[in-house]
Amino acid sequence: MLSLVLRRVLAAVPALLGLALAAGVVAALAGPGWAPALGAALAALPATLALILPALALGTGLGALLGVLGGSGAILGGVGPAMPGFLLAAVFAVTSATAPVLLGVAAVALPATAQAAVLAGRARAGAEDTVLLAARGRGVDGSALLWRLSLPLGLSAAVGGLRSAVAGTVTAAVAVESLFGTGFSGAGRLFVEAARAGDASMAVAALAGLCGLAVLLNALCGALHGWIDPRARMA
Amino acid sequence: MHGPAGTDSHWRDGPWQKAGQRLTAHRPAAAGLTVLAALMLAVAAGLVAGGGPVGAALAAGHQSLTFALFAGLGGAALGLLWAATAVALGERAERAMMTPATALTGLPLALALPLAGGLLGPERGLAPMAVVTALIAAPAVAVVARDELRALLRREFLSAAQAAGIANGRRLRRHILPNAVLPLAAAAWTALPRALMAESLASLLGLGLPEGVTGWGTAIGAAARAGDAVALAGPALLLALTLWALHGVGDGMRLAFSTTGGHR
Repeated sequence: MLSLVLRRVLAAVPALLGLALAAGVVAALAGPGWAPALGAALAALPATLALILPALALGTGLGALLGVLGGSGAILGGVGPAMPGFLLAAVFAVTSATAPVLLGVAAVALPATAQAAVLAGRARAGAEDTVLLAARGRGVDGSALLWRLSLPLGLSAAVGGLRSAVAGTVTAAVAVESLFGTGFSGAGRLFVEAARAGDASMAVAALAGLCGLAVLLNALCGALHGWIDPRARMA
Repeated sequence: MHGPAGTDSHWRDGPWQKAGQRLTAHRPAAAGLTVLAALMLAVAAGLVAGGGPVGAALAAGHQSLTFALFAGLGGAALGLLWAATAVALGERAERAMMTPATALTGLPLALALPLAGGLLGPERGLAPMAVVTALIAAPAVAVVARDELRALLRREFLSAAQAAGIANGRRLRRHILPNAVLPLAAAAWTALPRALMAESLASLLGLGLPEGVTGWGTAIGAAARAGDAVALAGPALLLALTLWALHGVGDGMRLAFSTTGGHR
């Protein structure tokens, strides 16, 4: 597992270096003070990561489970396209007085949950006439079928689709940090405030940081997919 | 299969008719088309009637939808050109052109629009914002369109046409283009929801449509900052419905027309 993670992360290093270089050049061209801007953007990234990581993990796990169970998972997957993270962030921001942290994480996690439910549901439907039929024929009971066959299949499909979910999750995190007040003050909030103030060096540095975070998360998701599903290690 | 000349059986069995039937056989696509048509009528009615929170939300939809349509068409054209050029230039050029496109689809590109909005300032024009939105939507269209073109070029009837000695130009006109139109239209459609989402996100953050132009995102952002749930409900519901309809039609188009198998 460790070597797989290292391989995937090392494969993302050129992209990360390219992003850092591009951000440095643009920020330096935008004016003096680019070094502190890059430092401030990097320092704010852990707060954004703390919002994104649990939301992605929770969303993918829950979505895969709901997807293989069908029913509510299918409904969630069906309405998924209607609820991008930034829209949920705006809706939840109106009622954020009650539980801002929970609602913020929910706004970021729900689109990932819906996507995972769709992918897991498709994976389960695809295995219905093959693996699952054979297991039923051998007398495997419903509970074992779910936990030992359906869920791993669904989880593998959901984790395989995390690439597009990561970009949406980072975008949603920016909206949450911007709309939910000082409770969330990461790179997303920094980015929006700098863009509003017309501070090019800070805004570009924060955006490069967010893109770098997406590249890193994509690499980690690739490694996780390879760990869960050996077929993905060949990719 | 075709009836005698002078009857309308050609239209019943024509390729466009069959494509329409394949599209509407997919339930979310049929529902999406119905919702989109209803939304267009409602937005037009809102523009004429105006007044009240519902009228304001519908009028805001006019700005959002017009912007998304133009920016999405630009993104679709750019993405299709990107993919067609990559495929036409051969394998090495294709790899060089499509690797960055694939890498870009994994990045939160939608954030480039608020960045552009902030850097252009409050006096920003609609045209530069539409160009940035088109650039945001293009890579995803290019990736899907390249896959469609590659799958099409591997089809047996094209190998047969080549083996029969049909000239390249004629093969392109008579065999490739007619079969590529619908799969490429499905690929191009993905630019529309992307453009609408990017514009709505940027406007929600106050960095999208210029001042004085109120779209759904602008209205949602203002209502969220004011904590006004009633003002938020109309534009949020209309935006959600539009995105759902656009995705439904896009999924239906992929399932009905794709040469790669539909699911991606």
